[in-house]
Amino acid sequence: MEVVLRAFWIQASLNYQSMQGLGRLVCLLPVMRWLSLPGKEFASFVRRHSGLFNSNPFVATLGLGALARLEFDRNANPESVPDGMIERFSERVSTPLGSVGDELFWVTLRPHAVLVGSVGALLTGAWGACLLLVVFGVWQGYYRWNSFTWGWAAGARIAAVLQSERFRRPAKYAGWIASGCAGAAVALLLVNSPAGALTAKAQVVAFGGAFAGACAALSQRKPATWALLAAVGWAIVVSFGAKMLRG
Amino acid sequence: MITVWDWVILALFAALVAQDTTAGPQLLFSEPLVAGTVAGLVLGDLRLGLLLGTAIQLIWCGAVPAGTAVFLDINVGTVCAVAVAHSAGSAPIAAAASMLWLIPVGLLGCALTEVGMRFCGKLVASIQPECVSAGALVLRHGAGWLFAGARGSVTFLAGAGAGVAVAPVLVRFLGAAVDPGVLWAGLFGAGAGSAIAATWRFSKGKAAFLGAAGVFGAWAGGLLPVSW
Repeated sequence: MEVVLRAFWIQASLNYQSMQGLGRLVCLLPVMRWLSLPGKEFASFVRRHSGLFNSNPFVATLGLGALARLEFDRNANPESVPDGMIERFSERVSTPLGSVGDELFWVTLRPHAVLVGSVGALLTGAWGACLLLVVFGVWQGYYRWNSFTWGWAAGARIAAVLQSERFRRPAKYAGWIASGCAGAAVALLLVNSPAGALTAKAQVVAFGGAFAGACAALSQRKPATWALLAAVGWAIVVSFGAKMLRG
Repeated sequence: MITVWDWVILALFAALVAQDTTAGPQLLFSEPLVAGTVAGLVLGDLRLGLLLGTAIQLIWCGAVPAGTAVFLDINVGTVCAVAVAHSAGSAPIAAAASMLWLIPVGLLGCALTEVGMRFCGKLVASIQPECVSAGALVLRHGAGWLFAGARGSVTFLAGAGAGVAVAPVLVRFLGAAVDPGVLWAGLFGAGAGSAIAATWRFSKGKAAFLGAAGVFGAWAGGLLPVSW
């Protein structure tokens, strides 16, 4: 429980040298206490856990669970975990933890929660913000807590956990809900945006052009800032055109 | 009009937002929709907070603040944008101008994030396993978190302070060049496009996407006799 709670702040000392290395070490300090390691073991514990660790923060508890298990096994039977194995495991596991976690959380679950919240905001106002927090809170609570248990049970064999349906099926369903919410957001923005309904032809043209521009820019992996600037530029052109037509 | 207390509360809130964005606990109360709503509540202008929060959230809904990727700090930028728009009179054109001001503020936040990464690197490099204690490790780690908070406050105070001065010029320029209704239609069009682009690869078969769009569109347009 203490490790999982500490893992909420695993990125506090994020840096280019060891990424979340110090965060991982601070999260694992309670393990040192559970094992009642003698004081002279502390320096080697710090050395084992201060190298590179670059996981996704939401599934880092999977790696922490596995590392805690390896420390536990090493303490019970030193021959079962050879010297250098924990350091090697720690370094090698961070890439798959980062890529699977980023794919699940940053690419799927975050847009899912954000779009559910945005549609909620378009329909109910401030409750949408609460909805975003609840939806994402449920997802991250589920993964942060259970990942530690899964990591503890799997030990060094956490690759099988990362490839399991536990990390795939929720992403699939969340992706479908996110897509539905994106569609709903488009429809709602057309008829009832927070800035008011689209009543003039010029507004419809501005909306359509900016919509197409954003789709094109982001599908080409351009930053969203481009979509914003293009929308402002397009709105200026449309306003000018509308003025000319009226005049 | 923003009072001194509003500045203090928003600067503290910006610190929490910056910490939640990169350092922890990453509960996503830093997302523009939530941060904008809270900033609007603090300033007593919930409608403005929601308007800016929703628009910024939709436009940047696909942005990923992961790993060492350089990203615009739009979360603190949203708090800043709400403060700037409120100080400029909360009119639609002022709100749109404050969204443009979010870009330099986001870049400032991004530069300070880089400084924070280097600061934490120095903290980590100074660890000597032979003579370090558990308390010293936790303190170093905590210093990184506090730095993230300081980054948020500095970004907000610098960005909103300059924004209050720049906003009238931006409002005058935009007001002369564009109709506010058309501008907001464009901004929400960009938000809708970003939302679709962010989720396009999930919508295999497009059934959920099209179905939801059709039902919501028909309902919101008053074509379905459904009351929720």
